[in-house]
Amino acid sequence: MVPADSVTNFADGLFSVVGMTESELVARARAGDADAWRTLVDGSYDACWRYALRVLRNAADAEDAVQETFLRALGALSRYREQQQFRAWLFTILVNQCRNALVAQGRRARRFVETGDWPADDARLGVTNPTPLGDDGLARAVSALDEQSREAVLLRFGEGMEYSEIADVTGASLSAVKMRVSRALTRLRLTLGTENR
Amino acid sequence: MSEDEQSDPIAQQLYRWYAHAEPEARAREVAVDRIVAEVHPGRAARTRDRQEGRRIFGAGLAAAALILTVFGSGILLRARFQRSPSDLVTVELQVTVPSAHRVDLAGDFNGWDARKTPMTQDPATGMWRATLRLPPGRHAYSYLVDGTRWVVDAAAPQSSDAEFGGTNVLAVAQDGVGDE
Repeated sequence: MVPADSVTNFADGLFSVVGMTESELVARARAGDADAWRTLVDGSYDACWRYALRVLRNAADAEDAVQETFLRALGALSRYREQQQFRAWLFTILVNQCRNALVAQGRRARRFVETGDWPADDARLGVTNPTPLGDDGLARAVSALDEQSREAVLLRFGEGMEYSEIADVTGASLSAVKMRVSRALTRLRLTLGTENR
Repeated sequence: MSEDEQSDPIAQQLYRWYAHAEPEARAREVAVDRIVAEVHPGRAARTRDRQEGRRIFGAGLAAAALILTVFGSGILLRARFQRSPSDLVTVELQVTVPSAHRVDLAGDFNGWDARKTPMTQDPATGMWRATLRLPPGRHAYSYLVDGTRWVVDAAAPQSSDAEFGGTNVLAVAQDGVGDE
């Protein structure tokens, strides 16, 4: 069973240790409190890095995308609204940065499959605790999805976001997000079922 | 996640694969230090606010153009309508899919969960049918054939909406009138 709270809920943990709410930390960071900003960054860095890595399949590019995300977030803190979830707000920026990075990489999922130029497996990506070899098939299958479907699937089953949250982050309608996830799962089942034969 | 998703082997595999990655500790520390070192809210924030403002304005123009295109394209109907006492309109969708063993219908109306709306085949004609009750409005949908491939009905209106590329679209009017 997949845990209901999925991978990371970075609203908990570090923030609870510090004893401040997310809104309080944002307000302090907005006022120039470096410690508050560090707490926000520390609490969300891993989740951002994981998403960027799975999208960009390159640790260096992922790190750059995450750094740019936080820099832009810092500059946009004045526009952050307390009603928003910090994670959704931050991931909106991250998703856009990853889209830009993909364009910069000049790489598309279809071309990726056709050329056979698959990215390194996790071990060669410099990822600690690399996934078992069997999951390389899943990595290829996810990379072969179109960009929008890949985003939706990673946010849904990786980050455990609600569909409404994914819609906010990606700018798609709620219905479109559900469609993309549904189609992506069909595609993954077909692809992985084929590879397992 | 829904119960169905939590018990889905693909969802489980995705979750495990996704979670099984951590940045190298030292690289992470350096990266976070670098990010925190950029706390210069004054000049840096003003510069990035200008960049963000230009991007948001451009996105707004693109969205407005897309909306005008969608509503200006016109939508035909290909369904049978019956008036019902409530605000919902009964609609029957029909499609011919040669060699299909199973056809399911997915769209806005069932959260794009094809399992909720299996279609039934008329043995005489081979046509697949499903009856829905839908509110007036525009509904995107597609057919899932044999659980493996998504198809659209080439003879039915298709979406010109970039967000829903590759779907059929059904416009349901309050008066239930439709063209065939």
